[in-house]
Amino acid sequence: MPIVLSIENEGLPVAAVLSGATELTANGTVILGSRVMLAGATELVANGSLLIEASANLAGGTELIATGRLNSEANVFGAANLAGATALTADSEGRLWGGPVVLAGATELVATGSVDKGVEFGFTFFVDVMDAALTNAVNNNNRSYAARLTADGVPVAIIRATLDAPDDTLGTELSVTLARPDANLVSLAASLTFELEIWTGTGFEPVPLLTGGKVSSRSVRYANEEGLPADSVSITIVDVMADRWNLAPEAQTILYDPQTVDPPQLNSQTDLRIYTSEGEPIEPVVEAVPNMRLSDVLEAAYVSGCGFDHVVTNIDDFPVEQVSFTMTGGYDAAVRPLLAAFDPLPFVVGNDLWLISFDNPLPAGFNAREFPAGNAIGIDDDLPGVETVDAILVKLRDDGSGEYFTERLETNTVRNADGLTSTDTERRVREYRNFDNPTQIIREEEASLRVRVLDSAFTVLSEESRTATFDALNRPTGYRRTLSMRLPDLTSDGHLATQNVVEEMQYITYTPHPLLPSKDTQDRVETVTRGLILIDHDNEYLGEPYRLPFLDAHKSGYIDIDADQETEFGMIKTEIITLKVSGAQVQRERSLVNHVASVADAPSVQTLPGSADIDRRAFHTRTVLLRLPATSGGRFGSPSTGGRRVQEFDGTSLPSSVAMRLAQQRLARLNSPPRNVGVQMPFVDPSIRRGSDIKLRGRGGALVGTFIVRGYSVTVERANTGSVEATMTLRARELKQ
Amino acid sequence: MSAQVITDSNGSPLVYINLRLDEGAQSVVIVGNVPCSAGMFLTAAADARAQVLARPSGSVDAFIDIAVASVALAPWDGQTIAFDFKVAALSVAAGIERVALPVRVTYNP
Repeated sequence: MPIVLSIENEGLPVAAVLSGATELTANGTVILGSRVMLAGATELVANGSLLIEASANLAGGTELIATGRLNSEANVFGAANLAGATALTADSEGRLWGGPVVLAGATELVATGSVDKGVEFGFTFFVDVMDAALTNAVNNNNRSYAARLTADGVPVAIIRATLDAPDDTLGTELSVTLARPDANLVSLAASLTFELEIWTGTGFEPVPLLTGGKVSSRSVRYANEEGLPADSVSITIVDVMADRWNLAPEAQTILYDPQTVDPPQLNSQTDLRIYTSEGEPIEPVVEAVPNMRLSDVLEAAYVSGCGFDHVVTNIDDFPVEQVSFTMTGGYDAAVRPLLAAFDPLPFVVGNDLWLISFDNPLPAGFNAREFPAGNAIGIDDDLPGVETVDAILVKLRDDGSGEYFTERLETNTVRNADGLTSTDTERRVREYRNFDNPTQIIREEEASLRVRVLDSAFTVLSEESRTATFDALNRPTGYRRTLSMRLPDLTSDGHLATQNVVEEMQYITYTPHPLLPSKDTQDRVETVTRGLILIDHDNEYLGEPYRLPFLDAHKSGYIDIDADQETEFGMIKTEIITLKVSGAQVQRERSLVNHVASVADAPSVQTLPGSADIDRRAFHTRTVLLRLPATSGGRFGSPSTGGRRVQEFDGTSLPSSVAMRLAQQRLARLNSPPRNVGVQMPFVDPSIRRGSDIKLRGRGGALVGTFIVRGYSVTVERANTGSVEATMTLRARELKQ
Repeated sequence: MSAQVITDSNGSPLVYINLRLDEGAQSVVIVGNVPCSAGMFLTAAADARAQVLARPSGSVDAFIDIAVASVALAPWDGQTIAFDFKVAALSVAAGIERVALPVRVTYNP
């Protein structure tokens, strides 16, 4: 609480006189109001801010010490008369504020510009407060909707809209089809707002889903059907938040910790210089940040760079040696590799960016919001492949040498030749650089790829994703690939439904080169494919129902919804390629096991000219074998590796303690991975968003699990009956301890 | 990212809690263990649409709005004290409004 020394009566020359030796210690704010006289030797210590208002008279030998606790709190000295020998020390911002300041005596003024960040901690409640009318509408299952798109305040009629909040990026993307196929209705510069209006019984109540959006792409199709024009205009809109993800510095920027790495060499700085078309140089920004930590990097990227007020995260604040913000990759691409091991969920509240890892369970005594089965028309509960491992190799880095990488994001949308579908591609590419020459990209590796095919109504027809893995020496160690497609659902009379068709894992291993000690050679590539398998009970082969991969059955037209057919998810094939170095040649042996037909192909052997060598990176690492304790035992309960292949965790970008903790979690999750669910809802609940916790119920009220929402889609369209229907799809991940 | 954190009764750090409340409704009670130091206060952000209420666990005192009346932690200097927290939704202008209410232990309430 502030201590205020002030006067109420203007008629008195001095309201408060502390004439003796006075010691005043305040943990809150100290305010010396107008005409306060500290006549004696006074020691004033304020652990909050210190504010001296007009006409304070510090006549004696006075020592003033103020330690500001928060960045925003300045120590302000008003029109003050410091007549005696005075020592003034402000560890926060010290300012002699406007007005006549008289320092008549021998005065020592020390103001240290650095700010001591406040010792402060806590947590945050996020509350969605719904008004009574909307509450009634949601509770009474009112499902009458209207949708409203406005461009610079002018309504634009639409016949369909899909709002997508992707899982791993900020912001939302809106795709709309205009009711009147006139591309000029929405200008590229227009500010766009999209609202879903929900009927409350007495009127429509608007719920803004996107405000201040800008057109990101537009597609116009001119066509005739049955002799009549059948033109269509589709527009994709991104909101302000999504656009922030694309922000980048106006010059190449490198932050480094001078206590752990050397500054970038001069020649590399010269290489980073960019010239305008007029020949003016744009110099790179190289900034030394002593004791740089993740919080400094997040602040530079998302607060100074992207314009957020704060970054709030529960990720460890570990030391960072160097980070490069490039004009092509932007702020996000530079930070993402640092955060990747934590797999955080990004979301925005107000103008604060939240990056939350899922390590923390729900608070004791708090139950996630109930989500009864009646709220869903479909739930896809997907357990990713369980890896039966009892140990994991953790790579830890011993010094600051060698490579690091930044990421580059490439996106592309093309209208396919059929004119009716389009393909969205998002590709993340790792650009490997050396610490001493960050401008030069040594090599590139594809980190992830996502390809989506959408029809003209923005329905996702197929989605394929591939995420590569790398070891501590930055060598590719394989990938995980998934493919989902809209295919006939045999459990639902053959209606088209999005189904997970293929899940493929690849593992690449290396061995020391037999002749060259500085090199490794790739020796084995194993690719395991699991997927949906069609089982035809009406067609037996060798006494068993005939089985074939569901995708093959779909391509060949084998699926028959009237037949006794079902599907199961299981092993489809395993391919093993071994490579052996033989002089300047490589011997490649390939074997393939078809698990559906229980057939192993005869191995094929090829001898190819070339090399399978990889230079070992100039990098000192230490490898730790982390094992499951026997009591918590994975699948086999063994304290050893169980003689099975172990996985590797790259902790080289993290401090050892953080890396070991994350590796421990990774090991536990390999044996028991969190499930992913997709929930299709026949209505829209506007209070569900990224970061919402839901307790999902299945048939008979049975608990499916507790999940955290990572992304969602809302589709609004006019039905044949003329009414407007709105549906919602949630994508969520299981919360595990 | 401070070394000190408020934890739940299982010792897990409290980071954020998501709630949906109707106008005028109150949430369930969450217990948070608060490390106390002399000079520090337990407080919350003030908002016209919702308020954070708290009291020491086991107390029969009424819950208080800690944005208005911060709790001085000096009496429990050096101890970790359990507090009951809950959120009371007030009213919103229309539709649905999202409110972030940081609960803080600070020198500057």
